[in-house]
Amino acid sequence: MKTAIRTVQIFALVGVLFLGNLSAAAQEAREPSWVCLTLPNGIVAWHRQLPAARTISIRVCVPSASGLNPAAPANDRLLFSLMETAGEEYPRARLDRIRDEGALDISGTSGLIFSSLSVSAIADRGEEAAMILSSLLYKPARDRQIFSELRTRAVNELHWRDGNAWSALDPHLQLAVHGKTVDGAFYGLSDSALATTQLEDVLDHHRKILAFEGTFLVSCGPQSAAGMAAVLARSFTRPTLRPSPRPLARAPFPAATNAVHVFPHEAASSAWAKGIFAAPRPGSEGYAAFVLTSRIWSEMLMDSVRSRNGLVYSVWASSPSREQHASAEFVLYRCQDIQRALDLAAESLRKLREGIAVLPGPESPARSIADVLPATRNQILASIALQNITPAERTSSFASWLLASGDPKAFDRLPDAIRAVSPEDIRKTAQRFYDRMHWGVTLSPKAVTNFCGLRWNP
Amino acid sequence: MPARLILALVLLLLLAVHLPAASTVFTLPNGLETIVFPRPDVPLVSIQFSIRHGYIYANDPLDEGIAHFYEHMLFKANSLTKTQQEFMRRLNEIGAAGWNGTTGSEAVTYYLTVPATEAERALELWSAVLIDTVFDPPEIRREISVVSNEIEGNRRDPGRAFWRLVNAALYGQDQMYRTGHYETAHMGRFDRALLQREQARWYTPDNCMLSLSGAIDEREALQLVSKHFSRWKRGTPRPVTRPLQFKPRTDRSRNLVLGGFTNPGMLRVLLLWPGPSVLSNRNETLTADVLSYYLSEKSGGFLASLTTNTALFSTDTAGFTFSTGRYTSEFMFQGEIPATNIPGLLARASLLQNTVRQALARIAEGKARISPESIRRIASRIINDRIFRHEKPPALLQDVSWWWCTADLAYWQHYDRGIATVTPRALQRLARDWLAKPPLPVLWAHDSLRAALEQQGGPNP
Repeated sequence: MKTAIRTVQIFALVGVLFLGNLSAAAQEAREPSWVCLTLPNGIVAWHRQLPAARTISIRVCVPSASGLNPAAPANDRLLFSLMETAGEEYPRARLDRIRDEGALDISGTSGLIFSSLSVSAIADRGEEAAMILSSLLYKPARDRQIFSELRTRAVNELHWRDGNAWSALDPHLQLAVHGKTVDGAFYGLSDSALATTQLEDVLDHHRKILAFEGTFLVSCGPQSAAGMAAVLARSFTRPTLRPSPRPLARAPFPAATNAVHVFPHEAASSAWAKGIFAAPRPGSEGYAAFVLTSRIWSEMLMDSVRSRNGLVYSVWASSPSREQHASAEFVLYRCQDIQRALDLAAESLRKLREGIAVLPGPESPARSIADVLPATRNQILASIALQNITPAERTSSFASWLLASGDPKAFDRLPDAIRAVSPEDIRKTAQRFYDRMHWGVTLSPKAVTNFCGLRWNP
Repeated sequence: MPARLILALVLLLLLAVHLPAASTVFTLPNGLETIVFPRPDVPLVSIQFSIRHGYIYANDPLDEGIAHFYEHMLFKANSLTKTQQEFMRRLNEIGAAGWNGTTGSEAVTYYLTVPATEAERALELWSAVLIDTVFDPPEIRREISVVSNEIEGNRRDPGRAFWRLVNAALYGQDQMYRTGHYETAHMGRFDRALLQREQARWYTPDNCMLSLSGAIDEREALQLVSKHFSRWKRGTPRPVTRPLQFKPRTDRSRNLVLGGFTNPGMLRVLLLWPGPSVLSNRNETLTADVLSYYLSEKSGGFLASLTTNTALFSTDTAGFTFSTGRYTSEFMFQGEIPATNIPGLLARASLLQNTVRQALARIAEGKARISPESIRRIASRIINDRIFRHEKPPALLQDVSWWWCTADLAYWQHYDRGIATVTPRALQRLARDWLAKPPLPVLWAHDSLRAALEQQGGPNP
């Protein structure tokens, strides 16, 4: 056999560094776990050392967000957008130069229950990353022109989202199910909070949240915990003094209806349908079973609705996201015959409750939950590993799980919790959660009359 | 010499050449190139197959969309899994995460990530998928329905509808069957014979690259790839693929005004030019990358001058891009101006377009020289971007795969070095040869603005 071999060297500039990391990684099967550091000023910091990492991520999480501040929901969104764009010590031009080097990436986001500002950097620039992060956090820019530009862009994003039939479905569905939209969520152009918020409002808000004692730091990179503690202590010096706002209360999920709500939208192309249903909180008992059940049901749906009948481009049941833990979704994406797809979905759900995970085919028998569970477990575990490779992914997962569950070990425990789920747990999960489904369908207005009688009756 | 002995020598060579952060490339006798990036710190193995196929490879208007449809058909029956149901079951059994296929203009890719212990079963499955595909007629009929749902949805998507019209203006309706904006009208004729013809032409080891990254070393990769892919037969001669031909324009070309759903508060202003392709002049494509980085720098003079001298809204939503293609490449400038003071809107859009063209003309004439220091900064930026992106094995494979389809592994391997050798004079030449020509000017406006713009500038060309 002739096999042509040529060995090539990529990343020549950082090769030596990487060799060291590879060797270290090969020996370091036991990855250090999250270490809690308390800085001299009282801020709690969590650090995970990843010896092989070539970048570092440092994230500051602040317990302030639109859901906790429904009276002025735009403040956090605009503040964290301002922070990622410019600061008093780091004017926009200076940050732009840093960004153009590509060695540091700065990002500010604000959701419903927390906001965060993060800096990712090439590993040897950890000290600089911490300095920039603290400077942007403590001293945001007071530049009206930049603020006005960011506000206009935020309003534009709302225009975009509202004009998209798929995302416009969410507020309609929330209204139909809960009688109100989610507190603090930006839905529709009727929400004028963004357009009327002024720079002074945002800077006042900044002074209040700066001292929240629930603020914490998360970092991940090749640095040791002791080394990172020293780096963070040098940059984050202001004390935290003020109690944080209380976490959002979870509203009970309303009883089931069989109605399917149809929402016409000018921009709707093919029909999209979304069902929402109650779901357990991440980190709670039953969450791991829920994740596995969603995956098994998704496979059933792909098999029966798409593969065997070709009715949709895609169909899936999701697990609740880490932040919005009130409900999960079941989605028919670009569907040809919604009623038939719903009937097939309902049929697959009935079978799942009976312990069947794969419907019988022309040449294959039905398979039970016990038959498919080991493979589904492997798949979920691989997905978790795949989504948590880089330092930035690690700090993001850890922070959002800590905020959703209140337990710093919750995310690390998830793999073991997934391994412990039994077939009976799956069956019970299907019975407990999937019977309270509420449906929304978005269609072009011309097609609505054909779909008014849609029903969901599992 | 016996094959085993050669293999043993090869393995010894691999052990001897222990290079830091190295990738290893080997080519099987049937022409299958494989590149391996070991990452022992990741408990997974990511696998990607890249095929030089895609929309541009359609040879006949009746074949439009065949590349995409073929990609869908691989997730079905083969010698190892008799039905799509079995295929999905097998994917589950090996713990496949993040798997899918994509069809682009010049590249088709299939990717998956599995636990490291399942690497062999994943390669075994994909050898059956690629080599022993079964095109079952009832499955073909069902998949036509699935793909029709996808494409009809795409056609009505406002963003895609916009780019379809831009492509039609760039290349003309008669070449649209070779772009990603195709019709579903001919899908009814897709059958086993047509798919087998495509397989013989494109799905052959000498037109495919396999890339791996994760907890797999060179020896294991070589052994597994040889075991499962050596039986794959080389292909027959492939038809010649032509570049897409740009429609000629003059400096008097009017703006193409496109409406639809977009942000009513802003007018998006675009300019598009043809650019050098890898097969026509690969060195120029590297120069084009440097130029597009230079013109998109947020702290650079180009965007700053546009914010000072025109109504450009923000440097964050403006930029200059070059999409490298094997056959067909494009340069594009994009920026937004506020859609206020409607009577003067077209004039402000034209001012932005003219200012961009004047800045490019100054580069072309050597009046705005790009310094060697700027080029060094851009080369360093490209390396930094890669460090971030390539921490994630699937992203690394996605990049190497795309470059292989667009160019080849040598292009990818020497990319950094190539970028560093770009000279200010080469940038000037590139601007002169490509960007001094009349571009396609496009305005993307909300429907509510379109009538006013047409009134100011006349009906659409």
